[in-house]
Amino acid sequence: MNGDRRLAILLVVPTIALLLFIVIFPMIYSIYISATSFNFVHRELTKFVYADNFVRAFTDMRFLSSLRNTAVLVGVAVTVEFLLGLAIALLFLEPFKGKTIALPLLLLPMMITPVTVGYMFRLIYEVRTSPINYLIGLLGFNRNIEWTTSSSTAMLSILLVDIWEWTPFMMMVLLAGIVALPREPIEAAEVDGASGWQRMRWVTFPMLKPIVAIALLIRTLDAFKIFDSIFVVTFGGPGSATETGSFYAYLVGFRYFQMGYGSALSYILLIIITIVTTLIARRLFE
Amino acid sequence: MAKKKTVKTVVRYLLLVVVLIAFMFPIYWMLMTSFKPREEVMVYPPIFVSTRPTLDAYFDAIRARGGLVIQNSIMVAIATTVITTVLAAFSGYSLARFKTGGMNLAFWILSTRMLPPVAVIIPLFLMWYTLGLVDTIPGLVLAHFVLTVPFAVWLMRGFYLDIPKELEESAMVDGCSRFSALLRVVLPVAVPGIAVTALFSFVFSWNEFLFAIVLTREAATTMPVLVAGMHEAHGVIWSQMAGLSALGMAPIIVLTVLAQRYLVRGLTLGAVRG
Repeated sequence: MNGDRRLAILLVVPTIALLLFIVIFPMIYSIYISATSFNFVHRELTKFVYADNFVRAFTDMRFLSSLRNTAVLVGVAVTVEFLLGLAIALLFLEPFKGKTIALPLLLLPMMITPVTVGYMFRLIYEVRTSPINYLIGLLGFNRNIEWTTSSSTAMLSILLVDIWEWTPFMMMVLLAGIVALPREPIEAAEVDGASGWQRMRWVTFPMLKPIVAIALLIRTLDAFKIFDSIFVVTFGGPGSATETGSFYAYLVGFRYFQMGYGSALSYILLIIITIVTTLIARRLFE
Repeated sequence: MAKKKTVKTVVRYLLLVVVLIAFMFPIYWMLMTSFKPREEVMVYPPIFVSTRPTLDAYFDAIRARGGLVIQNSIMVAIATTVITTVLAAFSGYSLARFKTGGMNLAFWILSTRMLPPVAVIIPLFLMWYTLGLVDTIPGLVLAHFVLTVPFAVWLMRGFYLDIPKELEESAMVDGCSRFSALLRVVLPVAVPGIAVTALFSFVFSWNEFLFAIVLTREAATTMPVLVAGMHEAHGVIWSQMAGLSALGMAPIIVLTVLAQRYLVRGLTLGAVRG
């Protein structure tokens, strides 16, 4: 028994030590940096400023608007991905010819390097040569849509990328969930004369709730961190129209080198994400 | 009645085709671009099927910094994968069998997976700067552990929980120590789980961008950084980037096909059995 105890600890010590070094220490160090005026280019001017950076964040209109952008992105993207994913999952429920090829193909969007996905969409959005604009032109509409550089479509451009990447994920999770459900309650409802929709609404969906909760939670968390596609597709532009919290914190830290303020922003994001996660988890899993 | 059913089937197939076209077109367009001669890439009207396919874009990409960054990506992803998998194979076992640290430790490890990478990137950069790890392969590998290790430990823990305890207990009755039972009896049974864990670690590291762009400059730059920086010099180098992107997608396609059965389970941290 004693030997087991020692082995148990020996087996986890390297992992814990590593995580202390690359996660916990940086997080504590970050609190210290966030309380200073540390600028990477003018290190000698660093002063201790207490909570000034945090106060500044709440009066920084650009940061507040980046938070609003994040909220819009997370809200719209996750909702559309869920509804579309559910619809496609239902479409895939019955067997059809080519299903064994279609399923792995649909896994690709979520596996391909996000930066590459961004590049693929840049290629499609490029105004002069866009294949989508070309097709829109063939249908007789204005084909000069400036997807990424016009403030009215830039956010849509980002949303489409995220929806393309993650709808298949929702679909796969929901499909796996539906397939794994016990058959008896659904069959019993059928015997009792429930229609297809009634069976869905009153039998399948309630049983699916835990899976839906997990899918929504994971997607919300990941959508909140969105960075790569913003960087490639719009770089936060035009102006700061598509800047998200993570992207703005990156700009502040590594383009403006204000690492003290950047650390404070990162901490605020961390606190928001923790609160949002807890609230969602509590609501969904109750 | 029969007619209604045929209509339904036709509509269903039509919808399936629309879904597949929508989700495959961006990939098709990028691959097609990678096979076009340069003068067909940015033209109007766009060319949907090239009549003069060539591999020029690939050669251009490799001749420009593409060769170096792919090599770096491979080294970083393999080192990250091997070390992550070994750490996870051991600590996952400890968490699953001995409940080391109770649920608190398990959930703490899981919660670090939820952490936005931007929250640690500034202190990590300053630490790496002080330690001379900026723009080195080991430096980037170490940073990638932030993403891969918590995830891998959690996943391995789940796989061990699926293996019956009696397995190593009977080996121990036969005189094995607990550790040699783990090595000789449990690990071989856990091979599918280990493979899935390794595969995800590889993909996470291969795809990772934020740490790579902050922590590398020239020597240790990986593929995503170059693709993202494609507009730096003289306008966007569309053709070359299509070649590089296609090269970068090759391992992803192979791994996706190999692991399709486990992807849903992995991506939901074991919560959903695909």
